[in-house]
Amino acid sequence: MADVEKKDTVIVGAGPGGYVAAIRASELGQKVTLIEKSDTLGGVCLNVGCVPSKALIQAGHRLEQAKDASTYGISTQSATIDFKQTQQWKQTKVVDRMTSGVKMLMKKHHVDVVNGEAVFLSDTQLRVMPTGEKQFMSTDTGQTFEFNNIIIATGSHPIEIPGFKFEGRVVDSTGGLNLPEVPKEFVVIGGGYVGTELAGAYASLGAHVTIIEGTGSILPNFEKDMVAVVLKKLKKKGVEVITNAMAKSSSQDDQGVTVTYAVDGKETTIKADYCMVTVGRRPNTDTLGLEYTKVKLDKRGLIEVDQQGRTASEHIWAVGDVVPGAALAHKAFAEGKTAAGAISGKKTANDWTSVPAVCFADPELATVGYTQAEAKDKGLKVKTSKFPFAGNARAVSLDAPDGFVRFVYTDDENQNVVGAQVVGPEASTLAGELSLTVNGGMNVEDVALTIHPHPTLNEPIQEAADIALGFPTHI
Amino acid sequence: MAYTFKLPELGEGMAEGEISSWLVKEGDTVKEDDTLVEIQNDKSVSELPSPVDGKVAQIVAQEGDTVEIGDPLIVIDDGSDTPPDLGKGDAAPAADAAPAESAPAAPAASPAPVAAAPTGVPAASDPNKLVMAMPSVRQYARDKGVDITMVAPTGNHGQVLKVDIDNFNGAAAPAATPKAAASAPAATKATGQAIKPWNADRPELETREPMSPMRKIIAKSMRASKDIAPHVTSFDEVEVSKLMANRKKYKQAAADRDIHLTFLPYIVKALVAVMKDFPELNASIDDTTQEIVTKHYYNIGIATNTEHGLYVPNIKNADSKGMFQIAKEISENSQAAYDNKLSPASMAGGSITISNVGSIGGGWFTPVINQPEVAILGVGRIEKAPYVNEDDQIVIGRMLKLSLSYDHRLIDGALAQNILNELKALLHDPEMLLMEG
Repeated sequence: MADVEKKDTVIVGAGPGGYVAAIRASELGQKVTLIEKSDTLGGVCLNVGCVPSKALIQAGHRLEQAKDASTYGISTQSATIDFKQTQQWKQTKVVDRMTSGVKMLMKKHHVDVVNGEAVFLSDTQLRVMPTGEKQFMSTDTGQTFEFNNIIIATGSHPIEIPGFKFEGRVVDSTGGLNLPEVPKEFVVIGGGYVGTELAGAYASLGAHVTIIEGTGSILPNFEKDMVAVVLKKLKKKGVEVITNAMAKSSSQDDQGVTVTYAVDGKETTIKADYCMVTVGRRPNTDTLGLEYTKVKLDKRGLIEVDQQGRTASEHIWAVGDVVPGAALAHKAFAEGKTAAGAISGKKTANDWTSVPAVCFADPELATVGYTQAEAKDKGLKVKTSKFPFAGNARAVSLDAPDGFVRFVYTDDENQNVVGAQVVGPEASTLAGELSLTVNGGMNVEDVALTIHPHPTLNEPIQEAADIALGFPTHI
Repeated sequence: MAYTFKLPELGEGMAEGEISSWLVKEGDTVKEDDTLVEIQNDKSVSELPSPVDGKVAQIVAQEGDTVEIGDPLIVIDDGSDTPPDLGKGDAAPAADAAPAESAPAAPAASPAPVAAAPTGVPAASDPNKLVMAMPSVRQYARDKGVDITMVAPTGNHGQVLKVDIDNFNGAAAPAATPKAAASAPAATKATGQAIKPWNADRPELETREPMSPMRKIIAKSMRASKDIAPHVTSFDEVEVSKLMANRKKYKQAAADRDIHLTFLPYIVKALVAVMKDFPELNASIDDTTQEIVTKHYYNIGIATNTEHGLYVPNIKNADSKGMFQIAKEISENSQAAYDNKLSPASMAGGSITISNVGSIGGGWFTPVINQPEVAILGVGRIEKAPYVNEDDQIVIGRMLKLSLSYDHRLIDGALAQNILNELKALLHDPEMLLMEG
């Protein structure tokens, strides 16, 4: 066995949680080693998640506009798409560019990147094994590292359900992003974020899409009045949404895949070119050798951590999808910085005062802080105020008047903003201002007295604050 | 390879202490029962002996650190195979949190189910409390070790400001729940006043030095007592010739038993008799439940001044002890206080406190109640003065000055005077103590 190599801070996983932790740790003077099993850095988010899906969504919007711009008096010849070229653009101009950017950042911060798969040997040691072909074809038996501290940032993987093994025409979100062609008929099982985003993207690209959702509504984590706006648009795109449906089985041949599902016990089959299953994600914690450490897992395989990200083992930390909470990249960013700071003795702590969540459905949705129902659950007395994009000049000029901005604020003399929701054009971007509002502990008057630029999509935020104060302006 | 010594329980209700000083350093060889460290908490300084023989491998908690029960203090290499265990003693209880699978909104405030080591970051005592503060102010609170949910906001629309963190003195905010108040009985009220720096015109004529931990503790408890209890002080005096004669008579008998008989045992005895007639004097107020707690034990505290601080050890169950025994215990307690060897238990559970400044020539004064008691008896000097006796003759009286400070929430002025009257009767005619005691 090779000698044990001493390391200062080791980070396992180069996704959003891991690479950001690496940067912060290095900035704080730690000597950082980053272990990644894939050939590229950036994790699911950059390679097969948030980033490439935005590229496909953008391509879909472009095609829709190219096909029909008659609203603006523009007539176009019948637009066509070369999807191979779309995929190539997505990979080389978007994904590769972003992942090589991470590589450059690691270089800039003198982070030592090691390719391999990490397995814990104890609370202070781990072994890095070569991955892929090297695993079988070389005599390399790996290297043991002894670390002062380690951050686990190994992320999560898509859940597979019985009857839908990921192979051939049954794909997970990674496969769904990398389809070789735009399917004529596309079935999406699971209408959460990922399912709804990609269903919308492929519908825009020309597919006939069916969403099969197990609960009573797609996007069950957003409020009904928000989802209604998305459903209206999906209907316009010809997407079929089947709720309270159980996906039963699939069978496939050269021609396509047949999906069987049941509603109220009544079975139906759909023939499709591809079936994508997006029913949630599971943490990558089962093959890390955590049983050789003091690290504790909960029933769902998530690592238990304190408010700094420290596990039950003193020098082992965990961030991102492997710990409880929403599986969101920006939550992982924050946790990575917190843990890196804590290792350097800073009094950091994860603060969930307002974690935004955004979904790039059409139109986009965003929520920050509490919804009305969540505020009530917390024992707060709240009111809401809502301003529709239909009353906003910019939204109308973008031909995107559907949706609204809503504030949730305390029903007392303070009128403190404790949450906000947006559905409509650029909701994801508007979530930034709303996060600052909630996180900064502002009240509706602070927002109402802030002059917003005109004509922009931000104005409805100020308008909703005006409504809360009892002085509505443009409504 | 090592024995990890963790902070043991020091006494009732004492969950933490400050490392006052280490008496050993890394590399030292220690024997079992050698004193390792002095730990100070709000009531006492405890010396902790080494439980094992060995060599000091690592001092984990540094001087000035605040440690909780179960926190590792020192690692001693005792030749055993046990690895050092630097894990924190008691993991914070896991709050029930079941975040929905990929919930989009705020992930349920991450509970702290595990704590492998102290983070130095205070956990929110009330995670559901709405705190309005800029993110930088929340970080500032963490840096200062302040639980921001406890801080009283002074900003517009209830914003917690940076200055509020600076002014936070450990007292719960006014809106805090009764639970929080119970955990900090000595501090039920936040002081809204801004702390102003001392600005000197001619700083070269002044010197500055940091307050000692003990001074800080005294300052904090005195201020808390004045915050909690509306103090009233009644002054009176009593002629004590017979008491002096009695003491003179038995002083030698006491000395033969190696006991130093002062006036204090008489006052202790008299107070016990008065407390039996006036149970209000032997009580506390539970603010969280608005209840009066009457004690059926008589532990009489004696304020003891030492060069390293003020302590109040008490004579346990003074009602069941004789005068000599009380005198003996007073001497023992004050010696222990001088030697910094008082145990926390010897200071806990007091009924009332006696503060004696007469021995150094003091007169009337306004003593501050030792919380959570409701009264304190200030004993002044005995002075020769003209006195009209029972036979209407003017004689030279021996006048003892008494100052009784009491908590007006529980004890009204007339009651206090009745208490003083009975106390005076007993001290004037000590033979009555035989009858009452």
